[in-house]
This record gives sequence, structure tokens and C-alpha cells, in this order.
Amino acid sequence: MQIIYSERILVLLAVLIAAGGLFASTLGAEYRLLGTVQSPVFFPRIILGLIMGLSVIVMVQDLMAQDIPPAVEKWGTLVVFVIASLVFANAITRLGFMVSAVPFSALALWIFNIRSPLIIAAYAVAVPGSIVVLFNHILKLPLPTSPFTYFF
Amino acid sequence: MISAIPDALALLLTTEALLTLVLGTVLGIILGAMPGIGSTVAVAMVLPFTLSMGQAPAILLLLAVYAGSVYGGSISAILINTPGTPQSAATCFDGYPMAQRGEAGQAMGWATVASVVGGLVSAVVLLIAAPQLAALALNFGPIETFALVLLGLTCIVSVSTGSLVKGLLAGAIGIFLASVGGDPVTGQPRFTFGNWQLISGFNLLAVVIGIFALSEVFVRASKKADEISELAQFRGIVIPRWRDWTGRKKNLAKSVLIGNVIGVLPGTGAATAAFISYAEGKRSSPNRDAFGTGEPDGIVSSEAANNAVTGGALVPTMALGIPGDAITAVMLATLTLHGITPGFRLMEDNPTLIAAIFAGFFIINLLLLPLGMGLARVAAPILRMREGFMMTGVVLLCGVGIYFVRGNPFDLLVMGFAGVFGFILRRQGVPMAPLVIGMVLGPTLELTLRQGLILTRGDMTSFATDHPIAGVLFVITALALAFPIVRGTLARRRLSKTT
Repeated sequence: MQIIYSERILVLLAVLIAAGGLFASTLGAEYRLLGTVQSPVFFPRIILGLIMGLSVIVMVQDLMAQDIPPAVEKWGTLVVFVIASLVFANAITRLGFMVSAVPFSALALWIFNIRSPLIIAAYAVAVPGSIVVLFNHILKLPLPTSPFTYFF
Repeated sequence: MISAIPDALALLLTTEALLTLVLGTVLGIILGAMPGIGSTVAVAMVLPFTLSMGQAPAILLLLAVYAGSVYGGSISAILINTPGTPQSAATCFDGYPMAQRGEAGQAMGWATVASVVGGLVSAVVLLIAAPQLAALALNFGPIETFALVLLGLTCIVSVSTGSLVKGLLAGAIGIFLASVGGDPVTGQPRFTFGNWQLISGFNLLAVVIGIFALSEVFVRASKKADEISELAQFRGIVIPRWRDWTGRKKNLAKSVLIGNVIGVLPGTGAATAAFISYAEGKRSSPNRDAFGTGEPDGIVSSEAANNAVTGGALVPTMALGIPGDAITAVMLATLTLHGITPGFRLMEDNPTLIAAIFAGFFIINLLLLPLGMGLARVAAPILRMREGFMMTGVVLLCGVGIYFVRGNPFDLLVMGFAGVFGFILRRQGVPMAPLVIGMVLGPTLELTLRQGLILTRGDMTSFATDHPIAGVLFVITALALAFPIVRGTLARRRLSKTT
């Protein structure tokens, strides 16, 4: 039972279900057919069928081998870091590069075990600041600015 | 090609181009020396800087970072026993023991000369082989191109590390991701589910950078910090004298040859070449008994081969538009941003640019010698830098790079989620390179298949019967797929006999 619920099997099951769902979505969809040209989903259906078949084979292989992936040593920090990265990626165009990069850098350094407040503050301001200066003023490729000021 | 050389030199001998070559090589060496960055991430990191450049300097910057990073990996391999790039892993075996004996300068000297020789020969191979291959492929129609792309994909998957089936699965996922968006023949949207952002599909670079760079940062964030190895005492590179090469030249030549041959095969990569070359050196070198204890031939085998791969990997990339490995896939995606579509038409349409790229690649490999000598001492203290500084910088630059690709916030989210997806797949032992290469080659595979089916009125058997070149390519594809299965079966039989 433990093997069935292993991380590898769950991931492969998710891939299989996603591919199956996408395949099923092509069956109901209507496309304009032009002469001898195949349907737009002709090729993706082949690939989705391949993905489903291969995920089943990999699942069987993994069940037989009983491989388990290496344990994640720091789940908590990983989750925080992933969320921070996604928020940073989403905030670049909304809050501007500098405003989103400074708190992200500070948090990332903390997650990577850098605990000196002075070093964190210096890096979090200096590195994004240098990137802004380099791109906005030297390379003339303006980065997104914040809604608060046009300087950064 | 030769007639284009004067114009190419004019393009190359500008302050911008020369400065790009030097700065790119410097950056490549430093980034390559930092464990965890790797060549793919290094090339991805400099992507935003290329956007303000012309076509030639942009490509030269990418090439310089690529070649520089492969060499740079040897610095950390020798000085701290941690390869900066996977390509330099085999260099640790003899490089670090030499450094521990107090001969770090000599070890770096062997690595530098071997890297330069490997790189220079590969530049010549690129110059000779790429136009020949492109000329051969110039008469290809959609069916032959389909067969060629299928072969390229199969080679890449069949040599992917770990399981063949997982490699195939990754390749299929990559091809599917590339099919999301407008149909290449009729333009009708597929798998967009009403989201207009998806009509133009997933941005290739956003996915690639997420899967390679961001997922690597996630992997590091999930681990406890590694202890930094002790830095070996190093006072600068000592270049080996001519007489020191006595009895070693054959090993150097063989390693360069292995690197070039493996480099040309799509998907194999420099790490494979370095290990095969090291194993061959250990088998045939007159100094084979000393391998693993600080033998210069071990360093030469690994470093000559991994740098020889750089030019070799560019042959299918530039001539056919089929990336040789994940790094050249990133480069291929970046080139399209600059309006350059590598493939057989490029050599015909833009010989000046191609000649400038090839000549520039030769110069980059020449620059490795003086820049390597100068930079190795500077790069050594950087090796002790905390990984948090590097990893935070990687995320910041990846965000900047993807923003500049299209200025689309959706691409930044795609990068983030691709990072998570890449992290999950890596944990399951799924190789990432086939996924990226599947995404690069998927659109051509689909388009040529459907064009071929229109030409043959839906008869797929005539792909092989009426098109002999395609038929031969299909046979090679089948052999390439069968090879790892046969090899695995034989290995298992041998193992069961011995136990």
C-alpha cells in the first residue's frame, strides 16, 4: 500500500490523468476542417496517447524497482521559497522590478542561511539596484517601474 | 563561405564585437567556476544582456559564455573538488589529488592547454562540417525534414541519462507543451480553454529557464547547505612545457577526437564525452596506472573532450536547427529572438553572419588561454562565496531575462510554474534535456508531418517508400531506439552470468 501511495506513483498518476483529461477534451471540441488537412488536434492526440502509454510503463517500472526519490531535507523553507519566487515573478510587472526584488532578495538570503542583517540589507538593495542601473541607464532597456515613482 | 570571410571579419573586428568576446569569455569562466550554475544556467543568465545587441555580438556573447563556462568548470573541480559544471566532473579525479600535492598551478595548466586545444579543433570541425551538413540538407522537403527531426529527437532521448522510457516521456511532454496554442496549419487555437494568453503558446525560454535555472535553485533551497570544501593552495597557472607532453600527445589527440565525434551526435553532451574520454585514457594511456592519483593524462582526457564538444554540438544546431544538447537548445531559442532561425537555410541566406560566428568561436577558444591564466587566480576566492548570494542572483536575472523576452507578465508566471514542474520531475528521475529539446523540435515535427500527409494524401507508408532519404533516416531512428534496449538487455545478461 505504501508503494502505491509513493511520491513517484502519485506524480505519474497526475501526468496520466492530466494527459487523459486533455485527450478527452479534444473529443468534444469542434474544429473547422479544411480539405485534406488533418484536424488541429490530430498531432496532439498522438502525443497525448504516447504520454499516457509511457506514464503507465514508467509507473510499472517504478513499482517493480520500488525506487523512492531522495527525501526533501527542508520542506518548510522550500515551500516558502517557491511561493516567494512565484509572488516575485508575478509582482515584477505590477509593483516594478526594484520594489519586488528587494523583499524577495532579503527573504531568499534568509532562506539560504545568511543571517547577518547588514549583509542581507546591503545585498537586497545593491544587487537589484545595480541591475536597474545597468538595464535602465547603460543598456537602455527599461525595467518595469512601480506605481509609486518613476525612478524604480 | 570563404567569400564571406572579409565581410565577416569586418563584422567581427568592431569594438563592440571584440569587447563582447572578451567579456563573454570572462563571464563564462567565472559563472562556470561557480558550482551549481552550470553552462545552461550561465547562458540563460546572460540572455537579457543580448537583447540590446545586434545579431552577431548577441550570438558571440552566448558562444563565449558557453565555451568559457565549460572551461571554468575545471577551476572548481581542481581547486575545491567540486565540478563547477557537470562536464568537469571527471576532472576532479586527477585534478584535486594534484592540487592536494601542492601542484594546483600545474593541474590548472594541463586543464587550460587541453581545453584550448579541444576548443580550437572543435572550431575547425564546426567550420568544415556545418556547411557540408547544411548543403546536404538543403534539398530536404517536409518528409525528409520530418524524418530528420524524428531522428534528432530519438537520438536525444536514447542517450538521456537514466531511464530510456523516462527520457521518452519527458520528450513527449515537451512536444505536447509546444503544441499548445495556435495550430501551425489552420491557426485554430488548441488547449487554450478560453485563455487568450495561451493562444501564442508557452514561451519556450520561459519554460526552459524555469525548468533548468529555477528548478535548480529550488533543489538547492530544499537541501541543507553543503560544507564548502577546502580551497587548495594556488598561486597561478603553470603551463606545461613542450617536453612535458612527451607520451601524452596521443592521449590529447584521442580525447579531442572523442569530444568532437560525441559533440556532433545530438543529445550526448560534454559530460558524457568527458567520462568516455577519461575511461579511454585510463584504458590506453601509458600512465594509466596513475589515473585517479593526480595524473595529468586524466585531466587532459576530461578537459580536451569536454571543450571539444562545444564546437561539435554547434554543428547540428547551426546546420540543421537540431540542438546538440540542452545548452544549445537554450541558444537556439535565444537566436530566434534575434530573428535568426538556425537550419540549412541560414547558411545560404546569411553566410556573412555564419562566417563571423565561426571565426568568433575560434577567437573565443584562443582567448581561453590568456583569460584563463589571468582569471583563475581571481576566480579562486569566488569559489568560497555563499551559495545564497549566487542563487538569489540567478532568480533575479532569470526574472529580468524573461521580462525582456516579450514584456509579458504571463511568461513570468510560466517561468515560475515551469520551475515547480521541473523540480517535481527531477525528483522522479525524469531527465530535463529531452523535455526542452522536445519543445524546440515539436513545432517542426508537427508541421512537417502534416505537410507530408497533405503531399501524400494521408498515406504515411509512402513517407518511407517514395522518399529514400527519409526511409534511411527512419531505419537509423529505429536502430537508435533499439540500441539502448539491446545494450541494457546484454548488460543484464552479463550481470546475471557473473552473479
